[in-house]
Amino acid sequence: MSARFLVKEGFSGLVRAKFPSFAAILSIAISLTLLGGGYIAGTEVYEIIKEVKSQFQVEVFLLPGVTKSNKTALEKTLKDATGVASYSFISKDKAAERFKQEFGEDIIDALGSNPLPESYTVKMDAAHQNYDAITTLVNTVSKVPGVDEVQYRRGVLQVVERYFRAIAIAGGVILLLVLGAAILLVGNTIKLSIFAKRDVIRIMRLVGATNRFIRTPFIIEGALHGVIGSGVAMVLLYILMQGTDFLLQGLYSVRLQFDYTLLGGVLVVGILFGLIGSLRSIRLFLNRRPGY
Amino acid sequence: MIDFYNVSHRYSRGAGVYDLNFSVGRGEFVCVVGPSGAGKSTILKLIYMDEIPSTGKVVVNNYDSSMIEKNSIAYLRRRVGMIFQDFQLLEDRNVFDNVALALEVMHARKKEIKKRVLESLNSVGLGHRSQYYPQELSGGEQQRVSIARAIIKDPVVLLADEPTGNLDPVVANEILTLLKRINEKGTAVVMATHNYALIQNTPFRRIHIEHGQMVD
Repeated sequence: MSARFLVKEGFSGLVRAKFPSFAAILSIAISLTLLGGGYIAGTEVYEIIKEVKSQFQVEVFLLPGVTKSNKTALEKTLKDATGVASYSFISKDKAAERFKQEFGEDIIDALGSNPLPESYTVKMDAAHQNYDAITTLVNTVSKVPGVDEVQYRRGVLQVVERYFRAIAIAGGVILLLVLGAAILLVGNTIKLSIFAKRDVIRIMRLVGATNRFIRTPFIIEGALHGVIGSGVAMVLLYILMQGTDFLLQGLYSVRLQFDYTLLGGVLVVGILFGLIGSLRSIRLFLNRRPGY
Repeated sequence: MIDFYNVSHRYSRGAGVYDLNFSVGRGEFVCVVGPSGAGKSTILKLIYMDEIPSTGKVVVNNYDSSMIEKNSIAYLRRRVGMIFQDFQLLEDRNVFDNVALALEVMHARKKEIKKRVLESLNSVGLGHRSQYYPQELSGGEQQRVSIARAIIKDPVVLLADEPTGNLDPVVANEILTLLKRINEKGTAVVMATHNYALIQNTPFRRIHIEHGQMVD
């Protein structure tokens, strides 16, 4: 193989067919920016929902005069229950202290006694911060003697879960559509860029080039389209991310983190787009007839 | 070296060639003559296996159309030079690179390519034009470049499909003289033409084609 010639052909292909190359690179860049942007938006929404869900806690209020053995039994139940990450005991005094912190008034001064019950605050681990797991826990704990009431923000949890599911499905469908459109767009643009070089292909065949020889520069060129296209997409994604972070600063406490592993993904997908697009298109030209 | 055995080839649009039987020997100069649309180009295409016969077979330098695999056609074409009425040069590369392409596809070394391209260009009188682009050359010069590209690989046969079709009579005669010179060095030439005047004073064997058939 005259590697020198083939590599040179691959690189000069970019310069010789400026417009088709530019179109192929642009289509890869736009597709990857849309896909990358969709991925970032999806993961951010997921992170926000996770954050909201992690703040959920179950509060177990005890009856007045509950015995120590009741408390031990409850603690054992909590320890054995699936999905419980941690729990803490809130005594009557601590409850009063919290009341004062939240409402600015001393409940004992106001009422003459402390009516607040003892309670436990239970936190679920990440895998069990969902409606089903929490309901199961609530049902179990409610039956333990000495437990008066178990409270959690049931309505909010249900809404979050419903939206989470809807967003996940809608996001998945949109990403699939974008991916399909990207494959079509990139495939057709590359086909056009190869169509623009049909003279080179025809003449190479006339002078005795094998299919492999003809294909190689196009593969190199396809990979180059992919590398340059993903480079452009990386820059666009970075700008997009910084811009969104800047706009959200006032509204949202969590700062967006640029995921650098995403860049690797963008590069790999970009090169694959370029390579597969070129290979598929060149095959159409090479497989036409015995001669041509 | 080139043998047609009961060759018929029909295109889907209807035209084609029918029941051709002839041979071209090594070093021979043969003119395929006939009016436009008679099937002259089809005969050349059958020789460089751009078309495979519907029935019968063509054998070129031991490559048999009835058995040839798609990948082997490239190797056949390294032994067959081709020139066309429209020159088939790449406009985006210079004369040197156009001619070098024929050796690049055969994986020749850079040094050898340089030497042989210049030799080939000199042999057609264009050694001084190697850095020009096709569009900077006259029609006759462009055809010489395509001849240089065809003969650089020392083909056993040079196929010329209306090589003078786009040229004025004076230049056409120069090209014919060049083809004769190439033939005298031992390369067979098969030239398709409808220009009877061009070849009337030549001693070459003629194959007359009309409506896709050989006529006496």
